[in-house]
Amino acid sequence: MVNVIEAENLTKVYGGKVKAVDHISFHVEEGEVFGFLGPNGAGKTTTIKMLNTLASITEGKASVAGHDVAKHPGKVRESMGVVPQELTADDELSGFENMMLMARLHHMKGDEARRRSKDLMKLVDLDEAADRKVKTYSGGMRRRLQLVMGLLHEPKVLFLDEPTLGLDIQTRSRMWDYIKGLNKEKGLTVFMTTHYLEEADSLCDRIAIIDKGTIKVSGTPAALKESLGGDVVTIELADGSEDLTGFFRGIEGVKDVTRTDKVYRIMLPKTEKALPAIIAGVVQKGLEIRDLSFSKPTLDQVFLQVAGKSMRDEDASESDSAWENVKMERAR
Amino acid sequence: MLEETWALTARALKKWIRNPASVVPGLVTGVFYLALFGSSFNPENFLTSSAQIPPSILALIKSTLVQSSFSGAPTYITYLTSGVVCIILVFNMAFGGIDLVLDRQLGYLNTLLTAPISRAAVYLSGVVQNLVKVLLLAVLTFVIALLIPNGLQLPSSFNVLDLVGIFGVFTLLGLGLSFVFTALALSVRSIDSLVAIVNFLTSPSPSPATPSSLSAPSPAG
Repeated sequence: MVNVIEAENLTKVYGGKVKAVDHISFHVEEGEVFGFLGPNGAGKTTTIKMLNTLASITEGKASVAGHDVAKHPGKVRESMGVVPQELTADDELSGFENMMLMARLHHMKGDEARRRSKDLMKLVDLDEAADRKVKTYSGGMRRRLQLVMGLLHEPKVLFLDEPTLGLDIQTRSRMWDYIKGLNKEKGLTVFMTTHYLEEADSLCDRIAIIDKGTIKVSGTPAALKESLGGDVVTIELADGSEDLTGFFRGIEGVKDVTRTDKVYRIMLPKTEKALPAIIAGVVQKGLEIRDLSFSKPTLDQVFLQVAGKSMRDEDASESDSAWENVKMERAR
Repeated sequence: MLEETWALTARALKKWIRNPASVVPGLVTGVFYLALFGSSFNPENFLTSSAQIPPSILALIKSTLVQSSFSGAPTYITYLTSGVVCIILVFNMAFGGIDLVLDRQLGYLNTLLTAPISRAAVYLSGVVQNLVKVLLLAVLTFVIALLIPNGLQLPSSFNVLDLVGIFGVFTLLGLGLSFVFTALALSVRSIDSLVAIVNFLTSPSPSPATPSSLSAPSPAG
């Protein structure tokens, strides 16, 4: 399989001090949906900007569609489509006019540009709103418009930077369907960044989890979840004075245990087999169980495992930034 | 590159024409300065006939006033028009880069920079769109000046070449200013910075309140 994107020791340092991306290496194969998963500020957007020729590379090298990003940026721009995080379609122009402008910037001929614009807008259900000014579009419509603006010139690879940021769950689900459809029907290679775990799980063939500028782990979502060792039992005790990590590890079938204060996360292949022994052990020690739950492995647990923190904790505070609200306000 | 420059210029002009809030103030400037202030401040209007001043003396005073104060222009509005056009030209050029700064802030510039277009096309489209807007406003200001009673008076020898000459000078001046201010707009990160720099550059030079003016001898000696 041909690698459409290759990155080797890719590094970005801002102002000689802040290392946003720290020697990361990865590749994306043709026809693959590759996800960069990580919390806000992890280095996802900086990586995508280096690959998109928008940010210079401090160290290392990268290629897109066989062209070196630093040496042949023009060739890279011809080969890629970019759907940025910001809602950038022009408010004062209609959806169709935005498409035609993008077509002209990609040197497409008039008839072909009109035909492809109409086809693509129909594909994402924007054909009826094509002649309306974009400022009358909803946030979801604008995201869909940007998606097809990035596809107009039939790129070899499509970069999606947080493609569903700020969308409600129904609209997000529809965006996933569009992206899946484009990947399956047109064999489009997609490189996307996201901090939505479900999105990465649902869409991506392979993912890389990035935190603090370094790739912590990469692989298929299924393999990463399996690497956790099966199910996860979470027990919260009333009293956290005694450390039961060693005790839980000694129970047959338990693969790993992590502790955060009074909360223990116990990884085991089959919850049903070890759960009675876990509960019995806690009761025998005279300790009170405040909360008990078990779940199948998730990407958040993978992230917790490799980064030592939950991504959900970080998302809540940062994803609703004031600037994002301003941009979404524009979209309404 | 020309096709890319034109595509981006057409986008900007389309938005400009569709948005009355961005066109009307440019026109109102001309109407205000020429029709309203121009008529109010016209020194000829202060000289009215009365019993003490015979009409022949009044006409002589007016002609002396016109010759000495209006640099050879036959009327005050004729004298004022070129200045008003220059004001419109300088201020519209100076703030014309705001659209580019907004494009940067809202991420549109990044969309352009990831397209396979020449970087120069982004700059040149900024220059050309501002020039086209200002020249249109200049033409409309001239038309307003012509329509005002006792307004712009062109000499009988005035011909097409004179018109081309006038607008040739305005175009060159506008082009120069547009190159400078578009470059400035591309180099700043926020509208606040642009406004602060433009305000500094366009602030009026010696006003009556400045020390150099205060220390200068008064006309009365």
